[in-house]
Amino acid sequence: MTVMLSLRDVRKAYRSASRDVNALDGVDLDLPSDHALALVGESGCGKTTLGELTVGLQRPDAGQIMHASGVDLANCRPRSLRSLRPRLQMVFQNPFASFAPHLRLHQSLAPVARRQGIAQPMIISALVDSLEQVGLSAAHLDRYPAQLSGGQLQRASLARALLCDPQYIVADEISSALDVAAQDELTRLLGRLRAQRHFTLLFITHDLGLARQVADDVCVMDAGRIVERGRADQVLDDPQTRAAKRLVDAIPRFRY
Amino acid sequence: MRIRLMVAAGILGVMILAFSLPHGDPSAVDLTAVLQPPSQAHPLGTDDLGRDVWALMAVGFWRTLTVVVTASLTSVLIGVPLGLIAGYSRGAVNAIIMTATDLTMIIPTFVAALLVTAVVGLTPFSAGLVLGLFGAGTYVNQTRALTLSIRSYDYVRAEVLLATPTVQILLRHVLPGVAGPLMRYFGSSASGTILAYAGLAFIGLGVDTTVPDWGTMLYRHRSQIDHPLLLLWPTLGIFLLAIVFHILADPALRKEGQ
Ligand SMILES: Nc1ncnc2c1ncn2[C@@H]1O[C@H](COP(=O)(O)OP(=O)(O)OP(=O)(O)O)[C@@H](O)[C@H]1O
Ligand SMILES: [Mg+2]
Repeated sequence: MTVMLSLRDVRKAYRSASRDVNALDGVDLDLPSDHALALVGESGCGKTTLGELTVGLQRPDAGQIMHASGVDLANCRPRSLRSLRPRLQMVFQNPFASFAPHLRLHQSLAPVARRQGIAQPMIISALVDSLEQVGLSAAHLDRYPAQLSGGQLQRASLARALLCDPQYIVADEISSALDVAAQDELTRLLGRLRAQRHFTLLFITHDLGLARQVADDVCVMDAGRIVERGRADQVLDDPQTRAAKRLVDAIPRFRY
Repeated sequence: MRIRLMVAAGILGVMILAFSLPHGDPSAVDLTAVLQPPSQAHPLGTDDLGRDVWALMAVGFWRTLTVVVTASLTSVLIGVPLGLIAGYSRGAVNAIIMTATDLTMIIPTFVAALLVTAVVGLTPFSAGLVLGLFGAGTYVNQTRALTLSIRSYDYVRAEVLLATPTVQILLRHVLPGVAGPLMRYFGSSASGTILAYAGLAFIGLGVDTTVPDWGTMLYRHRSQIDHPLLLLWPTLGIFLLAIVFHILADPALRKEGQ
């Protein structure tokens, strides 16, 4: 099992005039290739921050984020970071902010496909394929973001990431806006996609039940640290830490 | 608000139409018919050289509009790209652009325009260029501030992850978000330009006072106490045009803010 990303003592604080927030307080984490890891924790514990660091959207204040190619995302030059793009992808937590409001879906997606080397006459069919992969259809291509639901936008966002032939996708609470049935559908979709495309997945959620459906392993975060890591079932059945116990208690009962 | 907008657009439309109508030669001097009251032949009367005031007003209108268009284009074409670059790049590039901007901002635009036009001559084009150049600083600042906030939106960050070239991010994703709010400033800067140009023509040193500018008309007739209409027409023109631009851009902002 090769490691795709390896984080060592990663720290990140948000500083403002009034106060400093230690969002990440010394995180060590190995992300194996072709693996699904769930990152669970209460609101504000630093999940989004960690996800963004692992795709190079932000830099930590200290520590290492070593990619298998030898690039340290935390300390490398911008040019090295660009060499890893666009194969490190992220689906953002807020679907309504994920697409430019003034562009139709095909206007947002077409340049991505074009840069992947798809010839102009094939672009539309490639976009339709990518949408169908995530359960959307050609009919959605002409819509503006405001004409799509939160769940549809999350899927479109996933389709956009998949267009890049990703090695790694961070999915940041992509099901939190959905009802339970739609959540189940989405987690099954993620499983199918991973089986076909073999990307590494960091599945961020605060729902341990969902984490078990999607991920092999679960990491529990609390206040900027990873406090527990294990097989999903193992964490569910026998939580070791207070943070993990709270999350287990919070799972909707019928699913547990 | 709708009504205000329609009234303003109506006034501008009427002015454009009316001043497009054929009119006499504004430089035709007729010393046998000076200071005439409005009549069939001279709808706004004649001035102290017997020139047709309507013709002077019409030419002054187009000269003023030329200044506004030149100044606005200059400000936008210089200010917006620099603001986008400064807001997006931070670092050294940002520091250089902002220092240059601050330098132009501490020099009063009107004084700069006065000096430059005194040297190269006051034409609508030269005045527009200088006013536009020194007015660009505000466009830099506004565009930069908007860019700084838009660049933190997830849809812009997504483009970074997608390896979209920076120029494309700026043009396709950031610029459309900047354009709306900038309209607010566009109107008030256009009004400012109208007033500044009238002021330049009024006190312009060594300016040919026979040139038909509204500001020049005010300057020439400032002592014609017995013929207040000669002062009223250019004043009305400046006032109306300035307020029309001010109002026209205002609702654009309101809609944007919702
Ligand atoms: N841009 C920012 N500026 C200041 N503080 C921030 C910023 N982003 C996050 N924080 C703070 O950092 C901490 C971690 O935030 P983060 O968004 O990573 O948490 P999270 O686990 O994703 O929470 P949630 O489940 O609510 O999405 C929080 O206390 C948050 O308030
Ligand atoms: Mg979050």
